[in-house]
Amino acid sequence: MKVAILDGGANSVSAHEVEYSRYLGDLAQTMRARGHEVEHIRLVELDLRPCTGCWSCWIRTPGRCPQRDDCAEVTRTYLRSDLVLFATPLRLGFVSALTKVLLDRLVPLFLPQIVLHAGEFVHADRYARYPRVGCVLHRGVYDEDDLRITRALFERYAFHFKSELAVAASTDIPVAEVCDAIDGLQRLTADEARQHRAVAG
Amino acid sequence: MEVHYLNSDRRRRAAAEAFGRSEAVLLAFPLYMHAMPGIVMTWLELLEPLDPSRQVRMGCIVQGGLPEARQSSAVAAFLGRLPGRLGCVPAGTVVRGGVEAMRFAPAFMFRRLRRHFTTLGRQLGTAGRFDDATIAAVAGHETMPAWRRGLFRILEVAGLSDRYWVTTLRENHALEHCFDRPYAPGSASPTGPGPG
Repeated sequence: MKVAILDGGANSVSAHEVEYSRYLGDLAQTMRARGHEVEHIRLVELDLRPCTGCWSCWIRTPGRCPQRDDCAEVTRTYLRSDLVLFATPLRLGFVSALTKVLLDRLVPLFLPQIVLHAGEFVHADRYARYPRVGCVLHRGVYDEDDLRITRALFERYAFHFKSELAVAASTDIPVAEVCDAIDGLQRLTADEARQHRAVAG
Repeated sequence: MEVHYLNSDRRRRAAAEAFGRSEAVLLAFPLYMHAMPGIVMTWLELLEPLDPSRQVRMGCIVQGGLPEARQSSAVAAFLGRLPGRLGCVPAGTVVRGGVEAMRFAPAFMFRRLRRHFTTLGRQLGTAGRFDDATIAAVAGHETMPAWRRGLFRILEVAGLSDRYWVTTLRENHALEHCFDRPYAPGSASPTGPGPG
């Protein structure tokens, strides 16, 4: 399975940040050892500019943000993945700013048009196929409620893709357990992978 | 009263300094992907917590584009805890969906909402916090009632639900590219308008 880890951690030497980075490194290594193809993208190393809310990606250059930075390549990686893991250390009890900047920049994945899904208004799909979405959260000094609130954000995000959060992990959980959950997804997504290959030609 | 915009590094630094010397703070933003825009979170990460003995009030306003208040549920829960994290006294969180329609709907449709916001401002200025009843009145629906969903279905079938978008795309000469998938796996380089 192709897995993209979109890592919203910072270049910090704080104990929490080091612990978080080490966990993600172990996670990527273990997934590779189990046969997954893993791309670990550290957002802090990219030129990633914030969304300006101009709506160009909906109404002027459909599907594309007019900003010339690294987000186009991240979007390509996103769409060719079977599973995208948003990884973030909690900041003030929520996602990091880097992670939030990226989430905002993924809005061209939708069409501007509104549809009803499970009784709620959401944007219509632009693409025929999306990866499953998961999150890996590092609690640091924050508490269980902060983890729950941050997970809820990713649940909302997954819902907007007419899906459910496929992996909801925190760095409190042993790496092997998270990988077991991902292996389980691989079995579930065999049909989806065939469909993906058909779409990709 | 000072109004600060957070759309550049310089402005975010200025606003962070203003936060440190304020007696009350009102944080307002549109909903981007179910939470605050990235620039707002970038600003929040700059802030140093205040001395709680200063009793600085902090209120928040979230403006959603889609109509249901539920769209903002995660960030509303975060904002409920944020003032305490920053050494402030919570003044309340106001969430309102469906505000995007203000740009094209007749003014009378939003007259009552504007009155509510005036009331909220008065409450923050006099009592130092938003009144729960006004917050509830502004919030509207947590989820859309069945009749609103039914009405949408009718508009959808009639081809009217996306009229605003079709018109805007046509005005921008982008309608034929509306359904482009520039980053689909295996697709060629984008050919539509704009950057690659």
